[in-house]
Amino acid sequence: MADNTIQNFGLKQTTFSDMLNALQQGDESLFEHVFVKHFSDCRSYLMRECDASAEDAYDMTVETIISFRKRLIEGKIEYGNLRYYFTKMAKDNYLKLLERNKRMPVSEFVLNEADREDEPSQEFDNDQLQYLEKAWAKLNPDCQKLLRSHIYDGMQLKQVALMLNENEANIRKRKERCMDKLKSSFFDIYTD
Amino acid sequence: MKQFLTKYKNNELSLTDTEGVEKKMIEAIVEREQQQKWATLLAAEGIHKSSAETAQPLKGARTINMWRYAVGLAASFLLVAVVWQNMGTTSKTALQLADNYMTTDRFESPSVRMGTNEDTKNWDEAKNAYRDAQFEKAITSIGAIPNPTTEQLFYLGLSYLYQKEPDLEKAAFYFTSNLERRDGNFKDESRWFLALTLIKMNKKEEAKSILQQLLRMGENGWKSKEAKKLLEKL
Repeated sequence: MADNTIQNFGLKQTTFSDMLNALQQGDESLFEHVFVKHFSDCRSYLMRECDASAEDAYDMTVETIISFRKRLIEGKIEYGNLRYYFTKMAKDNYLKLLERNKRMPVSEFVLNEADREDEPSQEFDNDQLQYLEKAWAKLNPDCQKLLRSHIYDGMQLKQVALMLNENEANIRKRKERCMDKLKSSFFDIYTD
Repeated sequence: MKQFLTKYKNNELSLTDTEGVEKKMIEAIVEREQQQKWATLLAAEGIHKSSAETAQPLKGARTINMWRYAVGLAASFLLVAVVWQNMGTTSKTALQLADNYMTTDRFESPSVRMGTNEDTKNWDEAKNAYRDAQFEKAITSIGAIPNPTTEQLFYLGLSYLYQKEPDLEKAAFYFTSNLERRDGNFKDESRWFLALTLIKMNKKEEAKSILQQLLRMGENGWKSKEAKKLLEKL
């Protein structure tokens, strides 16, 4: 059988499965080890092939690692040619960034900002994000893990229950309580 | 988002919209958390967002202290200042590209790969200083070696290039000196860094001539792709 570990960040299929299982159990150490090691390759690729600035290449590589991790957990990525897939994702992310920048030249941006005053934004602004972070910090680590796994990583409550060694009904109730706590902590400090 | 949040606070959203807002909240927090985590992990490996900090041509630097961080930051400002001063008529993209290559070409840490001399003490000191991004110290130590090898002169040139206050004239001098030596060591490496230095000095024609030399081995030559790209921008 051909050795295709090079195309897969040096991982054998069994190690890849181990990494995936670990990620789904909340252990990110192997994933971090692999991607810290390959970070510069991807960044250099973006700088070399797309003429990205060092800063943009850094941001896009980090963004790609974060979305790659999410896709792995969701089971959307299979062993085969991980390096190609990862690099392609990074390039796509960079092209999207260029597209966003191209669509919004400075003059247009200023105009749009003025026009958009009454238009509801779908994103959090920096102040809102800071309040969110403060509210998040008030949750206990179990709550954070539960919300992160279920809402961000998209894990079924059944899987989360298994990971936290609890029954599903309890986890469901706890999820509601955690979300309520986050909401109340946030609105304690955030005033519109 | 403000309007959604107000409705969310007052429980005026539908179940779907409530879940949507909660998902956005968690996504925003976790993504920020992830970005911070990765910045810390990468910084511990000597990888930083700022180009001049990453420009330290080192591999495997695992411990970053505040002093080095400060040096890196200061170097980044100086590098920007030098680039700004030398912008002149050189196209901005060629300068940016040269800057990018300086960042990505984190040249391997010095070792005695080719040629040696008896002055191991100064060379050891220079190597350690270079690895620790103490380029001024590396310059002093290499300068104390009576008959430096081509490799040592190459790292002397790099040290002048990457030091806190880059001395482009001296960097160019040592890279050029290497090209005039009879041994075949570090020739293309010296050509490459000489070309980058010349671009920063706004010496376009000289840079072009050096880059052309890197293309002589065809597409498979060392740095030929990069040299071609730079030539297109100059």
